Amino acid sequence: MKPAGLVIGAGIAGIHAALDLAAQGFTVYLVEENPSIGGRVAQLSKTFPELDCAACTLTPKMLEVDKHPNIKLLTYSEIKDIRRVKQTFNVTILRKPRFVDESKCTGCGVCAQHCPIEVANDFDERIGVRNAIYIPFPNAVPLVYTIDREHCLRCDLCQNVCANKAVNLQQRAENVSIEVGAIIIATGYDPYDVQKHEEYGLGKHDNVITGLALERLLTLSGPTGGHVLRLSDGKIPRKVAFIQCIGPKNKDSNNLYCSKVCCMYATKLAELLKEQIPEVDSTIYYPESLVTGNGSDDFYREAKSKFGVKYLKARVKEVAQKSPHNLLVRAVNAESGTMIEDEADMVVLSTGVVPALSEDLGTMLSLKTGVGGFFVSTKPETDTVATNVEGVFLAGVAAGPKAIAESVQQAHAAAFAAADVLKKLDKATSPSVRSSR
Amino acid sequence: MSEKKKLAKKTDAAIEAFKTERLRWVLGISQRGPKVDEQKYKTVSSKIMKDEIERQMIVGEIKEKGPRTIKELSEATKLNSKEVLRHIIALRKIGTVSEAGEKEGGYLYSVASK
Repeated sequence: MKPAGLVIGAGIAGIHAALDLAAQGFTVYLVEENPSIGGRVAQLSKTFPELDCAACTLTPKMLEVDKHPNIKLLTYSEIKDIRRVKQTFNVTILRKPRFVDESKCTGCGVCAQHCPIEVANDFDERIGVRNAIYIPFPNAVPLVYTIDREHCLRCDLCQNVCANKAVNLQQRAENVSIEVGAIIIATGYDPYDVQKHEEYGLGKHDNVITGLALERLLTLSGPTGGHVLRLSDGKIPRKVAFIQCIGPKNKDSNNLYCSKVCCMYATKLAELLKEQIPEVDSTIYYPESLVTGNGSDDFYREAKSKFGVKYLKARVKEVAQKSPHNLLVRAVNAESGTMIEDEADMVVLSTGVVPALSEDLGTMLSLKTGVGGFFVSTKPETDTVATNVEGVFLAGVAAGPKAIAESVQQAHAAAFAAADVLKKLDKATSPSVRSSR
Repeated sequence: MSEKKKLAKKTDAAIEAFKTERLRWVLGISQRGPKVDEQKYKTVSSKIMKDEIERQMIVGEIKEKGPRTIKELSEATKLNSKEVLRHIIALRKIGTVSEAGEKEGGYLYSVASK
């Protein structure tokens, strides 16, 4: 039997890595902890710098994964254990119960229409709502519902209305054991938890939101149908302040590392806002410098000239409530040292990225991590995907902050490297070699 | 608006709310039996009832006066604007309301004719 590969994380990097590896004829297990694949990119309105609709490029790839005969998709699943046994890895995967039979659910959604429970949808950064039986977003893959037992009332309405009898409240967690010859880690990121910094007012002032929340407001299939408004009163914002460099800090309050994507996404969001609201006035507050390279300078220039976006080198000290709905941004001008106060309808916090799930995986595989806890390549100059563990490769933001295009590039490289390992294993264990014993 | 008229409006909203399937199901659950966690049911059902009545107040207001902004709906129903927006987002998801242009810096919401 041909050796198989494992891809951990089904965001943009994991999806591309899995498709590449599967295209070479290897069986690929693609493991995702969430009910749907798609990762962070699925939450975005448009991608930088093309301003293409994110779902338009991502969804076909997601469907390809779903249909691919060589890809075994394990969603709503977690890696419980990985053990190296000679040349291969024995992996235990926990399949969390969806309480809906994946083989029977057609994704028709009648169950959700009948579910009386309504809770905030994390996928919509809690602006939108979902039922206790849900799919996180309309084009989820697999298109299978999941019951959130924490909120479910056990009213059985979904069970009664499901034509295919897919609801199974007795479903239990299940362990799956697999053997693989190569592993690609594509666990991606979480946005930095800005609640730790009270001065920015997230959670205290309704009109302070994160960049990801603004992505959801701008998305056509999002909670407001792509209409940006203030969460306190529904007003269309006219004056918006973006605050940059919100991420893990050093003791001396400088950033521990640069998240690399925030300058670009704030600029993109300011442009998208201007496209929707011609009267909007956006200011991007950045404390030290803007990210350079990769054509970013042209992008800033265009944002200034075409979209009227303002860039202000200033360190924001506080976001305060000015009136019931308006905010006051207090900052220190980084050049003159003078205090600035400016009113805003809405404040967008450009939160940085932190590695998701790296701790457990790092321990299981004894993988090296670097600044901020991101996995590091052993040969960063020549080979960005190799790790200190043979047969384990990195792709996407799990290996450090990077843009979507770079994540995809790295995914291709990781799949290439993993395929190489699998081919060697295949040769070593192929029947012709064995028969010569 | 007189106190009597206000009360009548709220009663109308309550009557409409009790016609909604969501509320009827919830009330149905109470007779359904042992599986449902009693304490959880109490908390959830009273929230659903409150939500549904408030939503019917919003829907009733739009049906009576035509497309309305969050601000106008908040003033008419005496619900705070954040709550009105929360209801609009939920009503929008199930297709009851949709955007119908802009007015005075806010979106107008209309009720889909069924």
